[in-house]
Amino acid sequence: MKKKQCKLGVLALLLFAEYGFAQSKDSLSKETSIKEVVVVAFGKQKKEEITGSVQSLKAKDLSNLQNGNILQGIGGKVAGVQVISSGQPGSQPTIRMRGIGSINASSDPLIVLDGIPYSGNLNSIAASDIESISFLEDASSNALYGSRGANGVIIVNTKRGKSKGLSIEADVKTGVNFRSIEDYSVYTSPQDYYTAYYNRARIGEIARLKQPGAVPSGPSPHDVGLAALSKLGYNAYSVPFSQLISKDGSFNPEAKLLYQDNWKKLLFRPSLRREATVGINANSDQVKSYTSLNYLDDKGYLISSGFERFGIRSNVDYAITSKLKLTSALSYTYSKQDFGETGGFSNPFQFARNIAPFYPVFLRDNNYQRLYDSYGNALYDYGDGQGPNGATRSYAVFENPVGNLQKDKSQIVSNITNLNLGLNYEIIKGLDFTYNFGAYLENTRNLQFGNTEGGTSSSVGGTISQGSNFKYTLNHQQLLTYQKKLGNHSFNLLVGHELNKIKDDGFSGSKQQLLLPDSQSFDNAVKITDLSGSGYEYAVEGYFTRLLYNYDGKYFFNANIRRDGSSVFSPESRWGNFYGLGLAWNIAKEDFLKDNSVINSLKLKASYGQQGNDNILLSGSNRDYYAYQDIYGINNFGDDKPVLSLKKQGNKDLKWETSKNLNAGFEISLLKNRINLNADYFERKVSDMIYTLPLPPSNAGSYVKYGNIGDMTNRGVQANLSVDILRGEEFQWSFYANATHYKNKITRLPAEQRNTGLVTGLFILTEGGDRYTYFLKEFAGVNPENGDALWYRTAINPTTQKEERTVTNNYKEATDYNTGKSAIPKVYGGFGTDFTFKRFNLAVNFAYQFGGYGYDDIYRSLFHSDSYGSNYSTDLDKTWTPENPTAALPRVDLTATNQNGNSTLYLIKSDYISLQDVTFSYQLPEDFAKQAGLSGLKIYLTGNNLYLWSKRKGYDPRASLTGVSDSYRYSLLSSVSLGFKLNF
Amino acid sequence: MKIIKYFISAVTIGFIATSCANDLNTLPEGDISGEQLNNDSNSPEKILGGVYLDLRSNGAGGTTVHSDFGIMGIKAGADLMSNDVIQSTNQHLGMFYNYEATNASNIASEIVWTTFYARIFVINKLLDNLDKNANAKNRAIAGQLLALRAYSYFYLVRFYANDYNGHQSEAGLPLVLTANNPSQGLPRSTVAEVYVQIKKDIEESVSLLDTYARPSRAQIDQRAAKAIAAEVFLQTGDYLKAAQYAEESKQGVALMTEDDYTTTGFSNINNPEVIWGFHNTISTMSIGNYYASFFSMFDNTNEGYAGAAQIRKLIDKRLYEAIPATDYRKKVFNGSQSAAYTFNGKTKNYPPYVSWKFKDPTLFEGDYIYIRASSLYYIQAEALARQGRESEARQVLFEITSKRDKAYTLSVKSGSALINEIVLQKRIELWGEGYAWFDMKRLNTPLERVYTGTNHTFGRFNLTPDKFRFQIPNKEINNNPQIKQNE
Repeated sequence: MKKKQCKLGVLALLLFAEYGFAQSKDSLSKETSIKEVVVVAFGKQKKEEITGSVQSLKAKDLSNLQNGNILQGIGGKVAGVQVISSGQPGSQPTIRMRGIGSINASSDPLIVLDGIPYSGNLNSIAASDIESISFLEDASSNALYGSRGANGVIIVNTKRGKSKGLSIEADVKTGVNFRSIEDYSVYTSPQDYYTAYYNRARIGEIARLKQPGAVPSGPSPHDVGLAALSKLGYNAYSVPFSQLISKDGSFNPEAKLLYQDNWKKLLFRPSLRREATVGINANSDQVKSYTSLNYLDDKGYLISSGFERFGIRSNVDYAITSKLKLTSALSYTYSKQDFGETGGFSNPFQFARNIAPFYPVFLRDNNYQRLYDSYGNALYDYGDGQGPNGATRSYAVFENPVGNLQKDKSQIVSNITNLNLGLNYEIIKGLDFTYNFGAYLENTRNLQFGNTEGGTSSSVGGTISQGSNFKYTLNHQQLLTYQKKLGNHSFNLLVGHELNKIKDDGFSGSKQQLLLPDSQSFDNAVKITDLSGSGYEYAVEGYFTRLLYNYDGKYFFNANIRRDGSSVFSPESRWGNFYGLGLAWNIAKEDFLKDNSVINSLKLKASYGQQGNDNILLSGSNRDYYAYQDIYGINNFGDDKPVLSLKKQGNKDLKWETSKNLNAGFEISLLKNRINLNADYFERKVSDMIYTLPLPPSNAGSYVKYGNIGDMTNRGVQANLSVDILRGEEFQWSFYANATHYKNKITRLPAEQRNTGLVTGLFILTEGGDRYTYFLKEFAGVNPENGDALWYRTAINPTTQKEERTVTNNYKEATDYNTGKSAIPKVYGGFGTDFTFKRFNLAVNFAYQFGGYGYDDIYRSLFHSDSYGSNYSTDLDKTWTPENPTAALPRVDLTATNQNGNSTLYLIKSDYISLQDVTFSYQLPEDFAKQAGLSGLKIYLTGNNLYLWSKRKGYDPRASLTGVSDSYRYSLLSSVSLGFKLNF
Repeated sequence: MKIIKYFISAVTIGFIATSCANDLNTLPEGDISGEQLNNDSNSPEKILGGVYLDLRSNGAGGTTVHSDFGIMGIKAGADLMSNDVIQSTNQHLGMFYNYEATNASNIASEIVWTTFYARIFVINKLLDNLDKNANAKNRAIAGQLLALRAYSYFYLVRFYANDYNGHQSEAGLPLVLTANNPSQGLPRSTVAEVYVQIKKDIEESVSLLDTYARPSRAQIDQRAAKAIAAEVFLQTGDYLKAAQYAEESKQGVALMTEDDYTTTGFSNINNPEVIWGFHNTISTMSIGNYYASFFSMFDNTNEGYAGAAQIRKLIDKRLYEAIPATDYRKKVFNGSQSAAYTFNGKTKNYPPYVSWKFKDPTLFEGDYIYIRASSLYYIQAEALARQGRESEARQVLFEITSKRDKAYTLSVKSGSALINEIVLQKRIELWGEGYAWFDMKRLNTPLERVYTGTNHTFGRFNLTPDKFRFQIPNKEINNNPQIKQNE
């Protein structure tokens, strides 16, 4: 079956080669004017010819970005593109183009590197190697990528040799990384915490006594408060717990503070960032080459985290003969990434926020003197009873991130080789054949090391896990292009075939019981606890064709079709057809506008097309490559015999998610191209959305099954304005702004969910509603009598038999309402300005978002009723106490668990403005530079993620697409560096 | 000349294009797909093995929390809801102790529901495709599957519905008996209908397993099936059958010795009276997180949550005081004062009323015991007493109690006093093993934790047995339009 299709493809190619436009001898006239060229699917096009929505960032926009992964820094710079990142150096951000593409399939755009679809991490590419990044947002641009283009395509092109001769550019930066925004406000002094904790127990007792039928248990509320304090174990003061707080609630002034350790200072501190790159451009008539070396050492502000990278690249264009050209791009990158974010109680971000300030970091004896080991190293307190007077810590016992991060490791080392080869042969004038081959080879080694001295790993003598993974991607493209100009008509026809194959294979092992506490070699441990392997294979094949036509450079038309088959679906549902059509009219070239002095260019454009998405996600954002098959895991029964555990159900009927995209817009340049405005209206209709079927556990247990269950639409507008305010000899000033607004609507759900909606987490999906509408209990206020939290309840009154809305303090009975509030912002984008005076330049960029709602789960968790010495928000002074009965926030005590239950109380506007980056540079005078043997020397100071204005201190809406705060997230990192750019 | 050029280019293209020996059929590596298994005739047995394994693994209830580790976690949770077991601080499993677990939004409600329904799904999937009577192997597999299904529904109905007695026509559970159900979910059958199915399944299982010789104590054989049947029939009031099955099941099984009882008998599957359990090894404990396991939660001497983290498990003061001093079962509990205790070469200080019953000399690799012969003595004794065969009942009670307490003499009680004595002895013997709460529900015994001198902690309240019922988890309510929540 496959061979047949191959042969048909060949036949198609042959037909075109033989009977296509091969007869004419007319040649294309050369364009002499310099028109901006933009990278598009399988080639380049002049900007004026584009009928769709394509935006670019050039090398100069990117050269100041300091992120290990280049995509982290583009937030606010490109209309329609949202960037969600974490502070972990080198981490890949989440990119969304024009809204949400799906519920359960990935909404990630496809990344194409140097013409080949890229399945690796962009942290392996240095910013200095990038010539341009193009964002293809509509169907006419994307359809050629068929199955993977539904969420947009990001085309990254690396630098190639240009002009003639030899030129060298080097860039060296040194800087500091630090935590970008302060965390939520919590108690920092043990005195304040003890007082707060005492009050929690005290008012809890007062509230309990107010309940009908409550039995006084003997001790007064004050004594109950003191008794609770004594359970905390660690007393940082010189007087016993029973004397810490007096009956009037004031802290004992005689109490002396015996110790205090600052967890935050020990975990987060400014760190060093160093980067150096060299790019060599060596060109002759026949050979053009670009070679580069880059090095980055990006230490994170969380101790023991960071990203280190070393890379080499060689891009060569070799004109073998006048008809035969060879292009190559070869790169090797070595990178090492150390992670700080882990899950669970050992996560340093959650830990530092939640640990009460009286718990010590360091181990002390019964006299509160620090203890050290025989080498003089600090010993850490894990709260397991080895501390002063055998106290134990109730919060996160066995964990001490400061202690663990001294020795523990969570590290990935990657060796990535990327090889692209292209052969272009001009068969006859106008007819080109290109064969592109891309190979991406990635070997990663994963190391997890748990130390022998403290924490959960020490109870098993230390743990070592190592894994090795090899992944390769092979991509073959055969392209046949024919260009022909007949009078005013220009044609460009492309016919092609592409095969993309990914194979991933790896294994890992774990051992316990180490001999030497510092050696990370497997041999150092003796007890094997796990040995496992896994892998996957993915293949996608497509046939495509594209026609570009223009008349006189005024009227443009393009059409493209692609037929794709993906290994993810069953053979019956495997193949899909995708297409795109575009039209554009360059009005400014018409006679009535040709010589207009105000309007320099004006183009109207429209495009429409259909694309597919096969990128289905399992929970946890891993990709599901076998959606139509039942999947079982193999386990050891304990007697060394294999048994099978079902993991997931397959669905043979699962088919492509398709999205139909409409784009219409205009581009206008005024006043000698000083004012440029680009605006689009877009519509993305996604149908047959892949989602976990809403199966009840009684029918399916915990085994997920995917189906095509619904339809969704994104409708919006985006605009991009850039203005050159001043264009003098010495003085230049320009300004840009972009904004995107879209509405998301679910247009079809399965019949079973049509009336009730589909509840997923904090959101509800309803027909007519959007993907991220909050579904929560509605907070109704605080009962001034006892501080109970109140919520609304809608139920049938048993007497009147009518539905009524009442207020209840029973969380279980309260109703969950569709709040009508959505996490989707009304508008997002960025703006910035660039200011040059003589040799000085200042560039400032912002990103913003307005009109959406987030859910501040972290803030909510700081009003908990846990009794284990977990910190509180300082907004506790806004909560109910008997002394403050009219407070706006409910009572917080040590027993009532639902007082801070999920409700509308924790909804918060996710509006923000972020100062993305600021760069100040000075280009030294040429004579000065020449004295140093350079042709140019620039010195600059650059900083990124410098400031955030949001609705609450500590709340960072940029960390999540839905605005739900995540306590484990590595908070964003700011870098400020001083750098030199040298040209030879 | 041009034609030759065309020809060359065409051939080149053709050559390159046909080198696409592409196969868009891919297979997973590491995991196995259902398609690959179609060729393996032993796959039903291996999938059945997977069911046994999943029943004791972290994640059995579809979550990653440490309270989610299969039957042992659920039995432990049930015991924490009784009068007899106390937890010192509110962490893992604490939601059972303070009854928060009964809420539809609480993760424990989801864990219990999903642990059993996920197994029922796989069991039904296998049964749909299995010809029970084809050969001896299939009979054995079908017998085990039916026993597991009966066991699962038996637990589910006792959590999510009111007790059988007096509530038979009330809403029970969705009775899912095939894996080909419509995706909307089934409505709740009545409690009576559920028990009819449970009884049918377990009796069929007993008959299918008649010649099955199991490779280890991890599989359910006829003896284990009869033990389950005994408990089921005691619940439904079929006392004749309950006593008969209990007798047949415990026939020929030796009871454990004092040494077993006071040292490591409860973490060793080779304990002579184990009828069904699971042998844990380092590979089984590596599934999920090893802290999510029974001994981590219930062994106060171990390096887990109960031990090092001091989330202690204690015995109710009144129950402790009810154990005679001559009974060696008292030795595994601490008295009213803090005391030192040595195990595995380590001596530590322990608070009052702490339990030393469950001791695991390894780091969480201790074996699990699901059913042991002792439980059958009490089931048999009560069943006999309820039939009026009181002298036989007293004799059975004597057989076991005299082994545990040298000073015990044959009971002279009768009527409800005899029943109470049997139940008291049962509570002492099976403390922490997941029987107490179900008996309280069956016997309409209220929860009484408030009394003078009580040592109960954060769950110190009283409840009537009508509160001994879980709400159906939100995940089921939201996705099953036919199901009705408990009021």
